[in-house]
Amino acid sequence: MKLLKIEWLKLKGHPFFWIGLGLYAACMILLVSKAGGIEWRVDDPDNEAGQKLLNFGEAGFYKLPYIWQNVTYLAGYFKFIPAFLLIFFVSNEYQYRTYRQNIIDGLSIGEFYTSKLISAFIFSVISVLIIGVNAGIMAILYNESASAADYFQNMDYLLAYFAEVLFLMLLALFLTFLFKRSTITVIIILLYYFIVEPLAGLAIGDPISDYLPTRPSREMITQPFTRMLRLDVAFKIKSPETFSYHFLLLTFLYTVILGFGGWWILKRRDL
Amino acid sequence: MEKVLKTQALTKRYGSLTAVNELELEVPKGSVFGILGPNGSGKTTTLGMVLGVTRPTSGNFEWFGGKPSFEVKQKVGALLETPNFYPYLSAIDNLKIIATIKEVKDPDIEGVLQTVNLAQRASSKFKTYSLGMKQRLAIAAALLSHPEVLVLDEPTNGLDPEGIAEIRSMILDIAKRGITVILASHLLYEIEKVCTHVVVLRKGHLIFQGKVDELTGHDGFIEIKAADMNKLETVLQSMAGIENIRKKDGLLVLALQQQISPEEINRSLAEKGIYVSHLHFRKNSLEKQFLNLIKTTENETA
Ligand SMILES: Nc1ncnc2c1ncn2[C@@H]1O[C@H](COP(=O)(O)OP(=O)(O)OP(=O)(O)O)[C@@H](O)[C@H]1O
Ligand SMILES: [Mg+2]
Repeated sequence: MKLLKIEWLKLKGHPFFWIGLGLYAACMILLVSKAGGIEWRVDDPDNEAGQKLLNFGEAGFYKLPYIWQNVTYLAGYFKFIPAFLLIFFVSNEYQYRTYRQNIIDGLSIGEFYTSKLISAFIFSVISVLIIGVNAGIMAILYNESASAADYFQNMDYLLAYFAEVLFLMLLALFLTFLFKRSTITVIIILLYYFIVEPLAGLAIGDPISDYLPTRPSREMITQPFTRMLRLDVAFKIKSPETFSYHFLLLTFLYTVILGFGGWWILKRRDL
Repeated sequence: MEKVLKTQALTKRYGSLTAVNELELEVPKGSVFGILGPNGSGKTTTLGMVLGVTRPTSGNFEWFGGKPSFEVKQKVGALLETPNFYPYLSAIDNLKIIATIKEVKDPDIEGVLQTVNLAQRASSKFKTYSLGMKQRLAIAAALLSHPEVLVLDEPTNGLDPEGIAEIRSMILDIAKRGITVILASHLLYEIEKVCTHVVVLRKGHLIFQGKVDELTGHDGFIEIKAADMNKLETVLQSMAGIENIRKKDGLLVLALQQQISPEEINRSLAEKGIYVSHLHFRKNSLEKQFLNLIKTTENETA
């Protein structure tokens, strides 16, 4: 409670916290509400000669129970926004030397670390809330005759999404404690996530590459478009019914490892 | 006398550099305790270790006769090197965070800000403060938990003369309330103005520990020599007005209190049948004495 209060005092006073989250929320609202308008060229069975334009909305983007997968998958690309906010706030503690002052004033290193885990948790919860409420509203608008049970079916995609975001938060936290500065941390995390690990994955080959740190979190929620656009039927492949629990477990495992990793870094060095 | 802080063989090495070497300190309760040393002598490193932010390579320290703990941190208000606050927050919000960390019930934020003359700027953001205001806010923060000890590392660094005077009188006021103050500085006259006790550090070594007047209180030195050095020493030891006697290069060096003049010493020695073969009076500036202290030990260790 004490640690939560301290984090809250630190966060709420910074304009970036509100501006960052406001922009993030606005982005997500735009993303979710406009995604239905994305158009896609499909073969038109009624018209021998040509194709027709189909948009995501018509293709069932907002239909229960698939909406949960559709939205969490798309939102997954924007999870870096809260991660950057977290990197910014934690590296500030180094830049302002307030980390050291907090310890002098009475926090133990463990308490300080815990307070940052709380921050990571808060950012993840906020992200899930924004996405969840957004998807929920769109679900209500587009599914008039749905029952409560229909809403809950596949809602566990939100849990998977939470695990995905929390993993990235812990990765961000770990790297921030390692490098202490926001710019380098942001560069490294992007390089690693989008270049280093995918290349390493290619080099290692498929079954093992699934066990690289960020792989489970990004493969957990599979892309929904094959099914949405009926391509699975066309190409005779089977779309998974739900997200991979195997990957969920691995994501969680890596999150815990990163959690201990950050603690290990902090304990070993001078402030 | 009760000790607030005690270090035993406290040592910090950075690679091959020994920043603090087997330091033995004892800070008496109620003192204004100066840690004096030139730049890089290990003052900040020493304070960092006892404040729990620098890991000692070896050695121990005790606060109030016990291990460091949260209760100790509540009793110790400290400022290390620079005032560290959240620049985007006001003084009040910064102090709220510190009060939460220190678990101060009903923190008297207004009161401590008044003590350091910042009440008028209480809701301005920290980043808009001048250096002097930042230093004063740091002192306010340290006072928030009604500490028994206040640790200040170069609190007047970079301030103008007015700011320096303000901080000094503040330190003296705080000391008058019975709070033990530990003050690191590289300025002898600063230590002399506010401290009761002092240690002098050079390259991580302790080269002097004692009361401030032992270091600075006398008016000058007399170097003295006689045929019978032993008898000379015994006689001088029984003489009033002499602070201390040191042997150096076959001479005796007397640190004098103000009330005794070289003529008086010469006359009383003659009365006892001792005729000096060398008598030299040096009236040193304080700064020079400090430099001398550092130099003599340099020669001794070399
Ligand atoms: N993190 C560090 N890594 C390596 N060397 C360090 C580190 N911190 C301090 N030192 C070295 O330790 C020695 C003592 O430094 P310290 O900061 O304690 O001196 P100081 O007495 O506080 O000096 P100043 O008056 O300049 O503040 C210096 O030689 C310094 O270069
Ligand atoms: Mg220093």
